[in-house]
Amino acid sequence: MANGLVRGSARGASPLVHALTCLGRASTYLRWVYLLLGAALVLAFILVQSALGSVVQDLDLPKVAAGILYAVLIAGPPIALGVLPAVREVEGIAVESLLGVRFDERPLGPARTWPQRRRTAVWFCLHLIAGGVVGSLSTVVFGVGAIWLAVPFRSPGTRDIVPGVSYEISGGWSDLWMPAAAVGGVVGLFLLSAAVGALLAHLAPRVLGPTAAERIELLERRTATLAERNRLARELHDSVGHALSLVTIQAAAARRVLATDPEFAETALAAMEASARAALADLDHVLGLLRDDRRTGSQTTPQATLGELDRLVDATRAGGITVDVQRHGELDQLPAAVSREAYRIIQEGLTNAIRHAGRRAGELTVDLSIRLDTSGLRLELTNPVSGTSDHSGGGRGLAGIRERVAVLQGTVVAGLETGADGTLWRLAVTLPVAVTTKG
Amino acid sequence: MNLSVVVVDDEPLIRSGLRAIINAEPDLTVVGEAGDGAEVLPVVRRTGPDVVLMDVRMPALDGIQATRLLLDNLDPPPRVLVVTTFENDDYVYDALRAGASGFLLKRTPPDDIIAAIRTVAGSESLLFPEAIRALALAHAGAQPSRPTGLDEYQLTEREQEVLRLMARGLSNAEIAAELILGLQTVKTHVANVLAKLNARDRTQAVIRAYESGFVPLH
Repeated sequence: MANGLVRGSARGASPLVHALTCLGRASTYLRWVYLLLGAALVLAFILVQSALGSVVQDLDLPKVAAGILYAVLIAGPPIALGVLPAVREVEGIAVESLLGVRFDERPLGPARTWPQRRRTAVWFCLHLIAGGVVGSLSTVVFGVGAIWLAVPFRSPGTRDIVPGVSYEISGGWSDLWMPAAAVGGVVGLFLLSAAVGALLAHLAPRVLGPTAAERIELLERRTATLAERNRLARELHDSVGHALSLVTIQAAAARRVLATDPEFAETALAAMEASARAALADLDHVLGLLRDDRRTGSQTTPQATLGELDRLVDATRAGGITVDVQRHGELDQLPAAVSREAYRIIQEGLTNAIRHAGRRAGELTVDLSIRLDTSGLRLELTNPVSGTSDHSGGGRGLAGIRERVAVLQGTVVAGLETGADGTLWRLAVTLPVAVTTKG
Repeated sequence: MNLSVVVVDDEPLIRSGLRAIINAEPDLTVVGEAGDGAEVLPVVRRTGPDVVLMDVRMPALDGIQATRLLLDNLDPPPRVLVVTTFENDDYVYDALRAGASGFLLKRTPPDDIIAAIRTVAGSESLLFPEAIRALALAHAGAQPSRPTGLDEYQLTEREQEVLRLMARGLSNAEIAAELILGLQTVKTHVANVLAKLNARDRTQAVIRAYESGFVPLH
């Protein structure tokens, strides 16, 4: 309001005229409705309190004790209701649509933490107090106003104009101040309601909205979702997009040379069959990740850690691949974040191995070594590859692994190695770890 | 006119497919293949192709760097036609800026692949003018270049007109018809525009025209 007055005078308009312009805005009346909602709630609380109040009266307690009991009776129910998680959600909707406030968190969710529940209770009480004041004033202004507005139309004589107050109606011009006062009262009511509404709208983001820390948390969650989505997009781009362009080009080529070079056409058909099959497997994998995301998104299931490694290895074995696992060090003492990342790195490493093994999956043995010592956590995945095996794609999931490891300031070495047993594909990841003993 | 082509892609099956499609044309021949950007320069040196079909994403040296390598080391360099899986690939525009003459989606029907090779080799018209405009528009936000125009290059009024029509994808013959000029005159104007802008070909000139704001993107 003060702000409005300053702006009004700066523009040279009368402050009163400027204040009156708010009577022409829809937001003034929406805010009044929000305050009336508070008043309705106050009425409900008063009904309960008056019933309980008479019980306290009958107890015949000493004055101090009775006073404390009354205070608890008055403040208790609104606070008890205000801390319910759903109140934040409901108030959020009402504040957004009626007070016209835009929160940083949209839509405002139910209160998740105790500080949030406390702040919601504070807001709920503010709503009740402001609503109670404006609501009861509204009753008076409209109730009395209706009687006063009718005064010029009544016959002269002594009448009750407010319950218990009589007034001598003269029947002349001298009575006109009464309808004028009634109109003035209504104008004043809405000016006050606009001011209180503006004050609440100003306070809402601070009291009801997310705090700075909660905003950062929201942002982080959003960033994580985005990063995950980008990763899936890249997976689809790399695997399925690649396979489909290959099929398209081979099919086009086969059609062109069908008559002149049937041998090429047959090879092309075989290549198309193999890539389409690989694309389906990749699609299965990515859709699996999407389903995983939905599960972790609900935050009821935490992401898998190295503790669940056995299940992953069993699943891989079920796919026909032999995994030889060697563990060194007390892996259960790893910080959860590192353990989670290690699990996902191994998961992607194994997926890569399966993908590149292709048809020979049945004969593939992957050696997995996990070693935790003072120098950090070292993961090593090796599997033999045949000379024709194609690793030129740079490892489709390798980009994802590199990103993860970079975040944890670790190192990745991946590539082909020629040893006594032929060519090996080796993925070695080192993650720095500050090992702490569990307290 | 016989055209020779080199196919560069890290996927052997893409190479063999493209080779079959190209070799099925009587006047086109694949004279060499490379499986990575790093292998491109020696292959092109040995075979001297008119056009190089260049994959963008390759493990050791990507298509953008390989394109630069060709343009910096060969005189005259071959025309580079970038081949990509997806249209909204950031690398495509980078490759065009690096000097590639056009780009091609891997899902393009074979007849259009052949036509694109011929268009790029002939350099008489711009390949996919609409797509190049869209790419320039998509990348305009990333480079906060004020519309400086092309004043510093001192194009004549005629040359400016020719450049605008080049951006719309008109061939030399179409520009000649539009401006009621002789074909030879148009060719001279185009050559002058390219020389003044220091552009390798129409694609470079048109990208310059868009990025400077000389031709509005909208």
